[in-house]
Amino acid sequence: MLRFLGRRVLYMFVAFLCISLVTYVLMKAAPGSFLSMNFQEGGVSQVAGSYNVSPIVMQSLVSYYHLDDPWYVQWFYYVKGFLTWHMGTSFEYPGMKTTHIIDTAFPFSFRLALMAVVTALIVAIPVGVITAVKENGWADVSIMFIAMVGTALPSYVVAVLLIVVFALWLHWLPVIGYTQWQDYVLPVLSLAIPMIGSMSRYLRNSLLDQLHSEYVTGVLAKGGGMRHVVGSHALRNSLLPLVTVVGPQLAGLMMGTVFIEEIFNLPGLGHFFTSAANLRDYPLIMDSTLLYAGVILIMNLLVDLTYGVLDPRIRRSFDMG
Amino acid sequence: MEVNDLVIRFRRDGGVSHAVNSVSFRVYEGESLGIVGESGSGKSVSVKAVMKLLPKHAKFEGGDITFAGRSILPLSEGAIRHLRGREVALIFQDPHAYLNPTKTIGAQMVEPLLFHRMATKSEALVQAIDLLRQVGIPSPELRVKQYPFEFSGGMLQRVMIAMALIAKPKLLIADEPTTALDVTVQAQILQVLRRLKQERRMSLILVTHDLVVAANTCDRIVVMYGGRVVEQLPSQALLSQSQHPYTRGLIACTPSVRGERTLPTPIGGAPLNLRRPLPVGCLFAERCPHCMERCRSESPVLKTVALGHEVACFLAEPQTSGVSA
Repeated sequence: MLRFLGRRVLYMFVAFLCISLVTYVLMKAAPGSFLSMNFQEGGVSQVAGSYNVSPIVMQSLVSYYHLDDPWYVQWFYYVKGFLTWHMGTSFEYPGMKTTHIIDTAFPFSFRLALMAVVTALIVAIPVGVITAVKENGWADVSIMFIAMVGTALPSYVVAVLLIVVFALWLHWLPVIGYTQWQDYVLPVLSLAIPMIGSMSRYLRNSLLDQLHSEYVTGVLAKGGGMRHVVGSHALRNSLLPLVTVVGPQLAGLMMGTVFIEEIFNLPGLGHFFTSAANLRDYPLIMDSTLLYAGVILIMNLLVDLTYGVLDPRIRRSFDMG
Repeated sequence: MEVNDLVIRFRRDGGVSHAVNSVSFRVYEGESLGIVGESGSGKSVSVKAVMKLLPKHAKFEGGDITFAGRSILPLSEGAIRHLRGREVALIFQDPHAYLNPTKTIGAQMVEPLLFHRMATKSEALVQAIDLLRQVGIPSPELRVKQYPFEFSGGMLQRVMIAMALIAKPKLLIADEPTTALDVTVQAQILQVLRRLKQERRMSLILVTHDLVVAANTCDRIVVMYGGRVVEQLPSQALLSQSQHPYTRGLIACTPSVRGERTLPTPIGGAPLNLRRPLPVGCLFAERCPHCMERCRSESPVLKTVALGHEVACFLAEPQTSGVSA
C-alpha cells in the first residue's frame, strides 16, 4: 500500500512538471504580452504608466520576473514559486499576490463545487436505482427522458430559468450575494441539475450491467429479494464507474465556473482565471494552471484509492505493486 | 417434488425458442435424480424453472411444478423467496460467475440464514466456518475473510455447496456443478455431494451432460432431448437395459478406460434447433439410426417398460427380466 502511494506520488510529480512545461510554452507562444494587450485596449492606467518608469525600476522588475533569463530558467522559477507557495504578484491586480487571489477564491469555489456534487449525488443515486430496477417500465422511461433533457441543458440556461422562477416570480430566493445559505441555493442547483441528469443515467446503466450479471441469480437463489440484490451487492459494484466520472467533474468545478460566477456575481476562481488568460497575466495563468493540475492529480489519486475501497481485487493489486 | 408437462418458451428478437416442451419428472424425499442431456436439451432451464429463476423473457406456457404438495407456479415472488435457499438450494455451473466478486466468502455464505432470519450474523458465521470444514476447505477461519478471486474453481465450488447447505434445504439442485472443473477435482466434488446428501438425508437433482457422472452419483436418471424427456430409468439399469436410441447413443460415445481401446461413436447429425418450429413426430427422428415412417408423423409418449423405467420410443419393449409392468 505504501509502495503504491509512493509510486503514485512520484508519478504525479512528473506529470505535474510536464503540465507546467506545456503550459509555459503555450503561454509564451500566444501572441502579445500583458503590456501590449493593455496598450491596444487602452486599459489599466497603472500599467500604461509603467512605460515611463525609470530604467532602474524597469531593470529591477525585469530581474524580479527573470525576464532576461532563458525560458527554462523562467519556467523553473514559476514552478519553484508555486511549490514553495511564493508565487509573486499578478500583473492585472498589482500589489495583489496570486497566492492571495487563490487563497480567497479557491475555498469559495471548492465549497460551491462540493455542495453541487453532493446535491447531485443525493438525487442521482436514488433515481439511478429506481430506473434500473424498473428497467423499461413507465417510471424508467419517463424519468430517463427528463434526465436526458436535464443533461442537455447547460448550467447557465438552468441558472436563468431558476432565477426567473424562484427569484423573479416567486421571490423565494436571492439572486446576488454569498453571505447567507439562501444565496447558495440557486447557484448550487444550477450546477447540480445538469449533473443529476448525466449521473443518474450513468448509474442506471452501470447498475443494469450488475443486475444482468449471474451473481444476482445467485443472491436470488439464496432467498434474497431485490432489496438485498441492490442494497448489499449490485449498488456498491456499480459505484465504480460513477466514481470515475464524478472525480474529475468535481475537480473541474473546483476551479470555478465562469458562467455561474458571472450570473450570480460570485467571487470564484473562474472569473480570475479567464481574465488572466485573456490579458496574458503570466503569473496568474501559470499558477491557476498549476493549481488545476494539482487538483486533478490529487482527485485522480483519490479516485484510485476509492476503487481500492470498493473493489478488493484492485486493493490487492496495490500491494502487488 | 414433481414437475408435470412443463412447457417453457423464450421470446427473443421476435423469435420464439422452444426450450422445454412438456417435461415431467419427480424426485422423492432422500432420492437423487440425475438429469442428463446435451447442451440445449432444456435440462438447465427446467431446474431453474423449479425456483422461478428464469429471466423475464421466459414464459411458462403450461404444466405445473409442485413442491411438498404445493403448487409453485402461482406463488408470489415473496412466497417463492421463502422456499429459495431454505427449502430448495441451487448450485451453479460456474461458481466464479455466481458469486459477487467484491464481497467476502463469509459474508456471502451467511446470506441464506440472514435472508430467512434463521440466525444472527455471528451465529451464521460460526455455522459457515463449520460447513466449510465439512466440505474440505483447510483453515476455514481465514478463508471466510477472503474474496472469490482468491479461490480456485474447485475450492469455490466447495464453497458453493457449503453455502447451499447452510440453511439445511430439503432439496439440492446442482446445475452442472463439475462441468467447469478438472477431472480430478470433479471426482472430489461429486464425492462431497454424495456424502453430504447421505448425511443430511436430502433430495438431490444433479444436472449434467455426463452420463457417467449421473450414473455414479444418482439413484435414477432422466435423459432429455430437445426439451423432452426421452427415457427415465434406475441408474443400475442404464448400461444393460436402456432402450431409447438417444440414450444408447450417449452410452456409445462415452469413452471407456477399461476394456478395448475403441474410439467413441458419435451421434450423427446436429442437435435440434429449438428456435425453429418443432418438427412433427419424434424430436430425435432426424438423428435416429432406427427411424421409421411412424416417427416422422407421430410423437411417441413415455411408456413404462419395467418398474421405474419409461421410454419415449415406438421401438421400446417391455422388459422380460425383472418385474414386468
